[in-house]
Amino acid sequence: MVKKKSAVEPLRTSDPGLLILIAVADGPKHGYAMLNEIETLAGVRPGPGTLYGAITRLEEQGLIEPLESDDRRTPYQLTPEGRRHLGTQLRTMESLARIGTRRLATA
Amino acid sequence: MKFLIRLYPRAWRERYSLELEALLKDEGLTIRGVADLLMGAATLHLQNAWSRIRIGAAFSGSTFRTLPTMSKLAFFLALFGGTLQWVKNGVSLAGFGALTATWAVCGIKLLLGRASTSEATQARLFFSLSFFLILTASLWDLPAMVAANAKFQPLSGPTTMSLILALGLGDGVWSPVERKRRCQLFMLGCLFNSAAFAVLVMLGIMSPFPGAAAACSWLAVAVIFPLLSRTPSQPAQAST
Repeated sequence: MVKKKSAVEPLRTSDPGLLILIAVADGPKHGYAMLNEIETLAGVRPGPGTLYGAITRLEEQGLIEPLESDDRRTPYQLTPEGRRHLGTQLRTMESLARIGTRRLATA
Repeated sequence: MKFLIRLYPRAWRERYSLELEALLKDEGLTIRGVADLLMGAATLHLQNAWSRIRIGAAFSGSTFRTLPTMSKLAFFLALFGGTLQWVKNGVSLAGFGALTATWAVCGIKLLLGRASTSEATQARLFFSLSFFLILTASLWDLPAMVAANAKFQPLSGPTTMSLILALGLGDGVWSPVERKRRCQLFMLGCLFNSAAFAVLVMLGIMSPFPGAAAACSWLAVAVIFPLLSRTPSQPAQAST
């Protein structure tokens, strides 16, 4: 059996993967609801190919998981690993933003 | 709409096509959406192909100590054929060297029992070997000779390359049954080429060294192919 990737690549702020993780952070959402949430949060609306490319990667990395659904619209939720990963990423971004803001202020 | 989804790799479609259809129904299809879907499908195909090109990955995975004697035979045949060509034929040293080195690495891994035969690894190994075979112009000798008589020589190399590429790239897309059938067809082709080279040598049309070398190379490919076409439901037999 091929080993599953243990290391998860860091996400960029423009990465739809990060936006998806944030979109499902407060509860499970299906694809269309994710798009609406991302548009509200970030002012961008990823295309369907981009969205499902990112969902595929996140699921392969074990950061999100599908939930059972009678509908064809499968909802996804964060896994414990996804929650940890998102927290780490957001803390890093927060720290960078704080340092950057401080440096701007003292320049 | 369904036509666009069909452009995605089969394995991906089996998992996500219904969801994507539902999303497209809700979202509607715009020109930007079509372009995005095309990009998404192309990206997934490229990712699949790239995962097979990584030669190092071909030999990772769980330990496998039960490869049958046929794989070892394939290694020695390829090593012998490749070395002969390398030594005796100065036309395409890079190609012969690549063939010899590739098969040598594969063979050593197989002999040491450190190669994995999981399906994914087989696919990568398959593609890696095919990739190097493309570089090895010597294996095109027979089709090139036939094509030269028919005045279609420029087509022989690309035709062979297309065949190999189609088999390699299609590996992740086709079902195990389809893949097995294609591998068997390719294996028959290799056996035919191997036999044809032997006949050419026996008839005195071709000199023994390059003829025997090419025959060995084709035979090696033919021998290794049944191993690559195996699926998890057809485990390799333990060597005795």
